Amino acid sequence: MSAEVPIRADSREELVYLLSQASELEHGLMCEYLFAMFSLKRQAKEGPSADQLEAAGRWDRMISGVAAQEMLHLALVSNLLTAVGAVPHFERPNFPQQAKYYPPGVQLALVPFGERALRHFMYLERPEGFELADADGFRVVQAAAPITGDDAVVPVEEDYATVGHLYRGIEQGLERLVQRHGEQRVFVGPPDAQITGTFFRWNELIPVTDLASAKLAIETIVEQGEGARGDWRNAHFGRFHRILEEFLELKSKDPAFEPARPVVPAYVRPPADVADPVLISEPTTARVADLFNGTYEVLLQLLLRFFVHSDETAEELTMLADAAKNAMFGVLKPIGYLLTSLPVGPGDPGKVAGPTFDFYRTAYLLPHRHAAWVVLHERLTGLAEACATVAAETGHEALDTAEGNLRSLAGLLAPGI
Amino acid sequence: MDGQYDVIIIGTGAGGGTLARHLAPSGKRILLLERGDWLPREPENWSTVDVFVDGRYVSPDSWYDPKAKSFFQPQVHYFVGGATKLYGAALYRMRAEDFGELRHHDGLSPAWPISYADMEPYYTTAETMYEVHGARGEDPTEAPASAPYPYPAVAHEPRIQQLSDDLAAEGFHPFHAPCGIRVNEADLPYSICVKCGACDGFPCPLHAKSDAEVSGVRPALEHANVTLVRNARVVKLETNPEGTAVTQVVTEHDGETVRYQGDIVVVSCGAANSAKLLLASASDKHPKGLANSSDQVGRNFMYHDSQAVLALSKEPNPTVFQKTLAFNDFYFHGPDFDYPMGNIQMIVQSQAAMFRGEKPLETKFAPNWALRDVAEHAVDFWLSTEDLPLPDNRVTLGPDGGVHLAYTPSNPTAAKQLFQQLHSMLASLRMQPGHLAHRFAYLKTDIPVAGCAHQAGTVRFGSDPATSVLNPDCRAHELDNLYVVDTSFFPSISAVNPALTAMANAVRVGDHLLQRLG
Repeated sequence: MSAEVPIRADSREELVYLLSQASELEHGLMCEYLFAMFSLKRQAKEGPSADQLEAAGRWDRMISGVAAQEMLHLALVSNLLTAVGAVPHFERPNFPQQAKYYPPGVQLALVPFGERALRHFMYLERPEGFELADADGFRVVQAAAPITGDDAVVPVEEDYATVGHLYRGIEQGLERLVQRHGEQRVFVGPPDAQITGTFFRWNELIPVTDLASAKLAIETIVEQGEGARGDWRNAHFGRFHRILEEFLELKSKDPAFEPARPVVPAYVRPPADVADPVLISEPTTARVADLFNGTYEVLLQLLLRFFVHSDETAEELTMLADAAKNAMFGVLKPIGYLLTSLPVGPGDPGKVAGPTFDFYRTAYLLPHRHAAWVVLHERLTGLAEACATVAAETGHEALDTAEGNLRSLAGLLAPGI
Repeated sequence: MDGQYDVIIIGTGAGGGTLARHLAPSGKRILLLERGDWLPREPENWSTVDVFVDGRYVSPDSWYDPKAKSFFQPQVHYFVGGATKLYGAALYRMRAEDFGELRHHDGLSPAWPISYADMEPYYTTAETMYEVHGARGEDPTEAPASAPYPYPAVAHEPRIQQLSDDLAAEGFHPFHAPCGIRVNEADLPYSICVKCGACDGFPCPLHAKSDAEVSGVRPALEHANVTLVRNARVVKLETNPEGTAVTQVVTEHDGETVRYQGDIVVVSCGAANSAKLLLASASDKHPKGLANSSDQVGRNFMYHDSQAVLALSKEPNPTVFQKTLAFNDFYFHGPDFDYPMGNIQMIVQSQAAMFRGEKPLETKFAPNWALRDVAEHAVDFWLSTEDLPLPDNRVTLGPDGGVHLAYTPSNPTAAKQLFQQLHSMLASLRMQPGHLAHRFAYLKTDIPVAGCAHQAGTVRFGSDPATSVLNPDCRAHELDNLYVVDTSFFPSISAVNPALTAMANAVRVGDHLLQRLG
């Protein structure tokens, strides 16, 4: 087993930088997992047998559970950032997030469900010391070496091999800072800005106010990802391992079994930071993709307002949390499943469009309470109307579901305006 | 030792039957133990007198009411499929708010350790398994769902459509009640279900109702790795010397004692009987009952002390299949009542054969209404108010090991408010004003229609072992391999029918068990 390279985190700035990277990784992982989940076939007419569809349904729920835990991790990291005086970080580069953004061994991309995706997921979440090769197509790209030395005053790229490695570096950095400056100097964020698990029914979402709670938060993330003390079977790594085993077994019994739709990540408009994107040319598909990205955008706005609230009451925070949860499964899910059934267009025959989780701006934070709620309500209502229009023209029932749920979400927030 | 299995499931109702179906494709060796037998498919299934008056399908049992100091025959149905064999297949999701703490007029409904969002994908799966017909977006209290109902809503017959229109005209929000019947209204000649009047409260000889036998056990038995043993009553669970795992399932079958061993043991006997089994399995390591160091086993018995009521339509009501309409406008509050009141839904129409010949009903509706007229004009509602968990509403064991059930209604103010609310609306709904009678006042049987059909809460789950028996995965806090998967796990019961939540939870725990079994 090769030892992990120590990560330097000797200043608040470096810690915040690493925690922000951790946020981006949790966020990116969640999107990766959701993409794979959306790519699963759901109906017998797509080819799978009843038992295979049952297995696919179970994998869908398992991956959904892992994605939900990534959301918890993002929340814990947000609490860590708040605790050290920084702001929760919900930004991320567009996909594919090749190694130019992260260390050479960490690459994120949107991949449909299958052996390649599962091996890749296992690789990223592998426990400390596990030697695994990443899946085909995820080759390490050598990043440029940093030009600054050990006395740099701005954060520099660190080399971490896994998500767990990054968090262990963060934990060690926090310990060193507390040793040097004392807990009070390090944990300067207001305790009442911390988010607790009540809103999402997450017992593990603890407020971070000192080194002990910070270590517990990090331990939760690492254990859920890698497993605790070698017990990896129930961790994300173990769950993907189980899904892979089951998938390979079904595949050996039926080599023709293909659980995923022929999905490719497909953009409506080319993002500036993505080279050679696949572009959607089928108009209906483009409209549905826009609805997906619009919902994703308002979901981020809801989450950011929740995490960086100013004077919302507990009841209003509950409304925001409920709206975010409901947007995830009540709107994003039905639109996502619909999108992966729609063609990219004549230029990509046989391919269907996968959601790209487009990230349009550098910040989704709505900083002023009343304005934020008006904007959120307006956006939800606007998306509902857009869903209704496309539903009326295309007859896609999933959009009726999404429209009804968007209107419910708008109704949920209305009392807070 | 007579048998070794990966999973033993005790009971084949909404929880056990669903779990069996969900685990079956895994190839694991699964044993289903059912104390009853198949419910016979026979002409009497459709007979009001046999079913409703003579109680042909009520399984003999005797429970004791310590308050009344008397024994009574509970409305229990020990068959493959359990209580769902006679249920109305009203398959509602709980509201999102039901998973949180709710303040009622007469007490508190506690929060669940999981949220609606956690249960949502399992509700969607269960609705597909049980072929639920419904329409989203009509009920403003319903939580968002990630998918539409798998089948379209069952259409209202004309008098019920009129009722729906009248409710809407008054500003209420009637909706098509979610219904697990195997009907194909677009192609009736090929429909299994014929929408007869003998659904709710009757077994279906056509297997056209999605009960736990039809949609749970039978699909499970298509897999060779699943074994069903009928007429097998589990009397005790024995553990290892440390008390940390169930090692033997002691069963009485055909007059003999048979012992089974399973890596995982799942109790799905219904709230009263699941508690009974755990209490009867007391030992040195579990002196208060198996998994009962919290002293919660048997407590918090809830059963939806609901009201079946009859109103009289001004015009005759020829409806055959009445159970297609519901409204939740008073679920969380009423016009003059700031606390939850409950759900109002239709139930099977009263039939003349059900009525007593004696005076009470005639007296109540006298002088203008003969029994024949009542039957022709009956419009029947089910008023369901949330039953709140009270620690002294509990199942204990009598000296003979039988069920003692102490129960006091927990939310009477809200129940009364709901009745009065409907009573006040009669004239606007083309019903005879002032005539709203509790069915028990005039039916030939004095057992309330539901009996204990919605029993729940006696082995509740939670994050704190001091106040709960099961962890959020429905595994006993104290035993590594014991799970309880029926309605016993409910910390609160909401005001809607519990079956779909039991089914969804069975799928949820099933996913956990599949991960665990590897």
